[in-house]
Amino acid sequence: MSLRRSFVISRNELRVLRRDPSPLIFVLAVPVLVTYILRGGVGAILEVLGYHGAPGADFAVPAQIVTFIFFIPAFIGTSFIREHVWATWDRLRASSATSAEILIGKVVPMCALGLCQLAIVFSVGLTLGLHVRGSTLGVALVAAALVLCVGTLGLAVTSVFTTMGQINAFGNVGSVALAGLGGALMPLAVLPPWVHHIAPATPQYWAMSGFNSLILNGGKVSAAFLPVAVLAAFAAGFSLIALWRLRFADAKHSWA
Amino acid sequence: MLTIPYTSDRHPILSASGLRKSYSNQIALNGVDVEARAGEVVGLLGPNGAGKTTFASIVAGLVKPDGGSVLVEGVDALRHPHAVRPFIGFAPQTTGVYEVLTVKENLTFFGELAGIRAGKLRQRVADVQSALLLEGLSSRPCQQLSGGERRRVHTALALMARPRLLLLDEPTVGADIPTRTALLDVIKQLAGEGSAVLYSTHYLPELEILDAFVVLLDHGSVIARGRVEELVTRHGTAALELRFDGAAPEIAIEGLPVLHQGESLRIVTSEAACVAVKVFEALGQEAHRLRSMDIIHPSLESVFLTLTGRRYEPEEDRQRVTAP
Repeated sequence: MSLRRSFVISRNELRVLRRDPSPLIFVLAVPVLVTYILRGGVGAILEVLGYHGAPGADFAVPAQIVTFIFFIPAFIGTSFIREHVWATWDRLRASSATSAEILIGKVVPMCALGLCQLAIVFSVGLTLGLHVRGSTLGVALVAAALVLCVGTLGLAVTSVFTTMGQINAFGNVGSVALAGLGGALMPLAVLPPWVHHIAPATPQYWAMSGFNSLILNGGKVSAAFLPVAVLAAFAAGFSLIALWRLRFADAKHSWA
Repeated sequence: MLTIPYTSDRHPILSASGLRKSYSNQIALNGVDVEARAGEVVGLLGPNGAGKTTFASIVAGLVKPDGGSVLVEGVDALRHPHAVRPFIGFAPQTTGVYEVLTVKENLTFFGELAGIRAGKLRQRVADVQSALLLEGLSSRPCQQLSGGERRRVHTALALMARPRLLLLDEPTVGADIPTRTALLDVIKQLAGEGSAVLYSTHYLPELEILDAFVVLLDHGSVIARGRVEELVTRHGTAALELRFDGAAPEIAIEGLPVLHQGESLRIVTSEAACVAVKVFEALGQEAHRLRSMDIIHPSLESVFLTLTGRRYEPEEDRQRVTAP
């Protein structure tokens, strides 16, 4: 196992990303913009829910992070499909890089993108009145578990889907639907009761649960433990799916 | 199977023996043995479907065979694929480049992956660009290059590591003449420096230019092997080829095989000029449709014809043989 080769592959991914920065815009700029637009309305909802005086950014910042960070798995899947479309996949497989080095090299830049998103949106959120009432360490733990979950989901998506169309459908429809069900588009309290039953089946719910406990409710670091554990369990499940389904020799296509 | 003995004291870089591979019920390789020694160009020749790509893919570690063994520099490539990859440069059949990256970025990436660093990497990029006429294209994204230029970049990527074994799968498909010329020059040079080159193609003349040791594949089996001139001397036969306006007529020439295909006829004979007279007699009223008549000299193409009874057709044959 050579981390140097993984680093070389990661750097190549970043070169490609530089030439087509649409994921950067989507993951970094759009959540900031949406947070800015929604914070007033969300503040009013928080008031109704009993969080008197809480700025809208307290919910809008983590909500937009959780919504948009789950587009990253689709970008991970796209980066693998692109290798097949450009016919570079077999070249990569025939190179000195091992399967693990290739996976790490391709997934790490996207996880780094997730960390950048967290840093940027939280930073902008602070200027919009975001106030972390609870443990900052707890927030960092939830954020780390969230990125781990997103990275492994990316591998699972890569292993299951074989066309760009499938991955786009998952990225666009799946991410927004799961964000809605997980209480990231609107606070769960204002959603219908049936959603409350489904929500815990989504990683978005546990990420929002962790952030809300720490940011809105002032929870201590221990409030992060359960959400972090569940997000880690999701990550383990996604990793198992990837291990089970991922076949380097399988063909992938731009469209069916 | 025909084998013309070939002896060399140079050590084998590739030794593949008994390779077998099937896809569903289709046999792709049926016990293929190939050896490539240092400084040698081995031409893997055969029509589409002969098993060339499967063989190259197995050696490159992309496909697992059903049986057989592959040694690269003495290392078991099937058991330890990653141990042999530093020795191998592989250019698959389909052009594979990072489209949005520049030529230099593509070369740099594969050089870095091969473990070449800093100053040596810059020098190697410059050398490879120079060898394949890419110097003026260095800062151009591959998606802005012509098909021939992209094909040169594609092959250049396989050369970055200065491989001991270079696997080129149909490297000149879709290539323009400058690309083809540059590529054949590079292959000769690389072999001259002691690398072994496995050159899969269905273009016969390229192997003649390279003076390659030819392994002739047909339906997954080796049907002949030897140096081009040896094979041609032993099995190449001359022929008379006739082309017609419209479908070639059905004729028979006593004692000679006649191959029909679309608008052409080929009569296998070592005395083409003498046979031409008989042909006109046999054609009778059909002679007015004759467009051209050529004497085909012995070549690898005629070797294939002699050994298989079929005309060599890169896209696989549709012809039938009229028994003499």
